[in-house]
Amino acid sequence: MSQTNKKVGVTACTGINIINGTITRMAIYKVLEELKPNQTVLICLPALAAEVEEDVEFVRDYPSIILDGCEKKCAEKVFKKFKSKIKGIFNVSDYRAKYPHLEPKSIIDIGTDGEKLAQIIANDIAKKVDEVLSNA
Amino acid sequence: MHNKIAVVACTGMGKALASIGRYASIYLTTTLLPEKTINVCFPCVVSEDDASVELLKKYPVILIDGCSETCGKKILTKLNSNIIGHLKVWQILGKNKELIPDSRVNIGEKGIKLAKIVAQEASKIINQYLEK
Repeated sequence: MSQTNKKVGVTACTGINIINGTITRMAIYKVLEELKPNQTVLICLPALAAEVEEDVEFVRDYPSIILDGCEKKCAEKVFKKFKSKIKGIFNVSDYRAKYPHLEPKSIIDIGTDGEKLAQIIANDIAKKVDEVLSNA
Repeated sequence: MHNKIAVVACTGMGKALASIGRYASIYLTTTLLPEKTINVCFPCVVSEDDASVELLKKYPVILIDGCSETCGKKILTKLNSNIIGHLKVWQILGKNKELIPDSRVNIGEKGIKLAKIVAQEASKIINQYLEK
């Protein structure tokens, strides 16, 4: 494994007006803090957009996985501006369609179903992290 | 004269104080002043979503930044937004040192209290502006 591929950057769109944005946050926190704490680094989307140096340098040097909330794909658009090495793109909308029985409660509190949905997404992202690192 | 104010929170994820800003903007726009405010999605703004950028051209803006990187200020300054109030969560925490949030994932009861103080400070600025 090369030095530059020992970590994977993960990001969430963090959108604020729909529940899916909150789901993105919770799923990425699960990846960062529970599932892959030693293999992942948070890329803060607002910081990247504001050209905070450490975020900009990280996405140019390391592979990244993106989680967007809706069809606007804001995180993907921002990452593409920064010559980033995108290795995986996920979208909460796809999971909402796949698991219609899981209905998150609200933007502030996603509730039990929202937590389950976030966990499913986090598990898939964690698998992708392993795949990216094993192919490095 | 404007009848609404756009609210923008940085929505950062690295620090608990950004989670406070996010909660504050939602509380402000859904509970405190729902008829006077509109919550503008900052990630949509930074990805140049036309509808979101248009809202920032149309309305004066209350900006809530979570940390001293002030990402919200940097972006909105580039867009020439009319910022009528810039709330800095870390400074408000400095005045309410007992209200340290639990974590970035779950801000906890103290975090919620802090977020409501941020929202109340924003609501004062908004009411003063709209009464002019």
